[in-house]
Amino acid sequence: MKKLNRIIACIIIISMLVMLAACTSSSETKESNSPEKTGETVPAKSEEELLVEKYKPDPNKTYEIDWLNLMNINGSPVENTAEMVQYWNEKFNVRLNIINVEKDDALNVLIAAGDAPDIISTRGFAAYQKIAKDKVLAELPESILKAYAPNLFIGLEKEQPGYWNTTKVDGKIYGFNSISYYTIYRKPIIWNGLYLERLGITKAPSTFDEMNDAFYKLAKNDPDQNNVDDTYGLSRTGLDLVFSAFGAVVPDGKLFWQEKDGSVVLTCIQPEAKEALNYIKKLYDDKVLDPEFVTGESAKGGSVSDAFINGKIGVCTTSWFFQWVPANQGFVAVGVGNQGVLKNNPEMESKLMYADPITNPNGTKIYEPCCDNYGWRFRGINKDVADKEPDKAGKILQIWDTVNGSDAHTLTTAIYGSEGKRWDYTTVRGIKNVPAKRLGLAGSDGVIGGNMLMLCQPLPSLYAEGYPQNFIAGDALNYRNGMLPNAIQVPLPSCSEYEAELIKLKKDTYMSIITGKKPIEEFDNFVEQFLKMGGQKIIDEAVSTYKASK
Amino acid sequence: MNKSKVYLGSMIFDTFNIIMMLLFSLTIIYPFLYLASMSFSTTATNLNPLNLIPRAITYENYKTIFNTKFMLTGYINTFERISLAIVLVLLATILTAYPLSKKYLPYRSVITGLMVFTMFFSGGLIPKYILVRSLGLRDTVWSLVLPGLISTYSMLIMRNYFMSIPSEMEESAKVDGANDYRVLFQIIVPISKPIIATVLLWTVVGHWNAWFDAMIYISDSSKQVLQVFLRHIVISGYMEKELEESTVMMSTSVPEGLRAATIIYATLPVVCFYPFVQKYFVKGIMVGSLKG
Repeated sequence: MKKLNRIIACIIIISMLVMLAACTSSSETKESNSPEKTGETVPAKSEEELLVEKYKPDPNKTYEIDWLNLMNINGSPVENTAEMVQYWNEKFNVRLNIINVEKDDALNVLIAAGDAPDIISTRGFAAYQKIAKDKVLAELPESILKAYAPNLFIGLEKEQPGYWNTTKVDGKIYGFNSISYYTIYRKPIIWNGLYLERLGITKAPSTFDEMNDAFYKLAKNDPDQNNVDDTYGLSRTGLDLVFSAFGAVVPDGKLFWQEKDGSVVLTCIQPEAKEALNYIKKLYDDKVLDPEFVTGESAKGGSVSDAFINGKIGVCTTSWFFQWVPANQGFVAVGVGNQGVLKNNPEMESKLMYADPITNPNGTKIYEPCCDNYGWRFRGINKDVADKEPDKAGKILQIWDTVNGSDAHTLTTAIYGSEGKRWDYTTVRGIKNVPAKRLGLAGSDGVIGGNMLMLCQPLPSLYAEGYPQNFIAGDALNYRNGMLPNAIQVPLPSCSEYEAELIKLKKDTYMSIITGKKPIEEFDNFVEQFLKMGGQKIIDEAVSTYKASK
Repeated sequence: MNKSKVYLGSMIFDTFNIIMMLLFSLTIIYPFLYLASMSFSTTATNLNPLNLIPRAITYENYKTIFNTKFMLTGYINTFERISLAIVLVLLATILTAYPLSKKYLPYRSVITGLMVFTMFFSGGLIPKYILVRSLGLRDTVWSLVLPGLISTYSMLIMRNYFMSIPSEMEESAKVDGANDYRVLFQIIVPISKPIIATVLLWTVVGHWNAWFDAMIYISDSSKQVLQVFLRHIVISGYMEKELEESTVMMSTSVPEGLRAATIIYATLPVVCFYPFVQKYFVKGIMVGSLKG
């Protein structure tokens, strides 16, 4: 009987497993529609013409497009009835069905499940390369781009030479890469002018001795006048200033390349970095460097320096220059950092000093750019669309070309909303025709369907014209001075394998040396280990890439 | 002499215990009080640390929340989700646990074993998504309720509780002519309040806090739950480093006070609900954990 029960139990289990295994989707496979499997042959002579013809949108057809709204980019969910969605529906004769996706991980689930919207976005070249090779993204042949996105195809290459090379996977274009518009500007260097004034310093430090003097006075001479020893010269971001004062740009979380003697060198292993570390260690030992520099300057992990806003430190150099734009000087938008200081201490805000980098031993001033040339955020078209409805893909390209490449007014409308309702042309610091958003509007740009929703990659020139407020501020505050671009901008082949570990090694070693856990002599061991862990390979690739570009 | 020594020792220990527990309680209560204080503070004052009493009280943060369209719909959708979940989860769990509590159920151990298997292994996120989509549940509240309807852990706790109920009660009811359903709903369920309250609490808290499933299955913002909006507001300012190209949105940031108010807005109902079921919580878990 027991044996019979066991046999019956086994049969039940096996039958359940068989039922589970038999549960397959009855949806059609996606591969059957790919051209290479249909066995079609196209006459070689008119292949390009046929392709262009295939992608040609029907002007009388109302296309229904599943338009991606990636909320970690655009900032808000967007409804189909949103103001700007209706605007674009009417302008382009389409019906946009906004697919709100919270972040890239959620989009990856949709892609894996075959539910991706008609537009796909991904971050990082590795991820872009993967989904291109997995046949998730549609190839965008140059003939198609020329035909249906001519402004972008020609303009992006013209304004950013080598642009289309950054979008190629195995020699084919699959989407648009994002350009960082503000690469001409460096990170801002903001000194607390109120404190410096109280310490008898009338201008922002520009030499090493002045900087050193300012640091020690800020830490030792009670600039906040509260009889408590609670201020410091600098904290985490101020270390960038120190490194650049020694002649090396050594950013916190990435590898930086500088030109030297006809080649490129990795700054974090240079002798200048060692000298800077030695000085920083002295600042730490003398309690001039904020002991909490390890955790950063922001209380909540953002990029705005709470330590500087609260008057704890005397200098900060955060990542985005437009976070430091003064109030009451006629600029379109006050920087977030200035807003914080203004609410805390209006006098301090009015006396902030927007300084240049410190002159280094070579006699030059150099500083890290606020961003790299490219954002490596890719946007492309779902391959299913290109296979089943190529004319819809052509329509999407036309929409992108109009919004991002035709004229500045359309671009401003895409970002802000309708002119006269949400923004007007105004004069800013003597510069005429500057688009400025109206204040006190209900609903953010993102919620109404503006902000980044319709953008793929605007032409830099149009962006400068259609959204110029940050460029005006950047030029007025001399944020271009001393900007040193990273000598290697493209991802190196070995970076994906070694970079993360090398950066971690660098951070750990630097912290240990500064806090005294390891002596400065450890730097030489660090260099040796760095090279062994893949650093030498990356350097060799960088040198050959640099020489190939010259 | 010995008694006074023991008494003194006991007093010292109790005092030390009480002090430690008070300090521990403070570390738990303080963040909540800090957030409450920040939610009523202006942006200037809330930049200062250790601010338990707001220096400049403002209701602007809450006004902004109540005027934000999606916050109200989020609340409504969350309550809808929880209401459905409470009824269906309890019903399904009871109807699963009760038969499995009967030793005379054929292949009881096999069925239990198969259910326990699902606690450790699952198909993964993508197959689950495909299943939900193919059932037509995407963008509906059912995608948030049905996939996790029966928690194996809760079912086992409930099963164990049912097993501890004397069988004589059921037998006497059956002698009086009651069928199995009547026995279950009129005899067993009324005396199982502790475990039902426990499962109810877990269900409510679990569904109230859940956001990942809503993020995956719901793309229509009018059907989205509160926690997804909360997450978005709270962390939106911290994404700056990832968004080199989003230079348009990065010129603004969500004020800390608004973040704090959003958190209070989202957690207050659970904080109010918990004291009513607290007494059942520990009792229910301990009773349900006896014997297998």
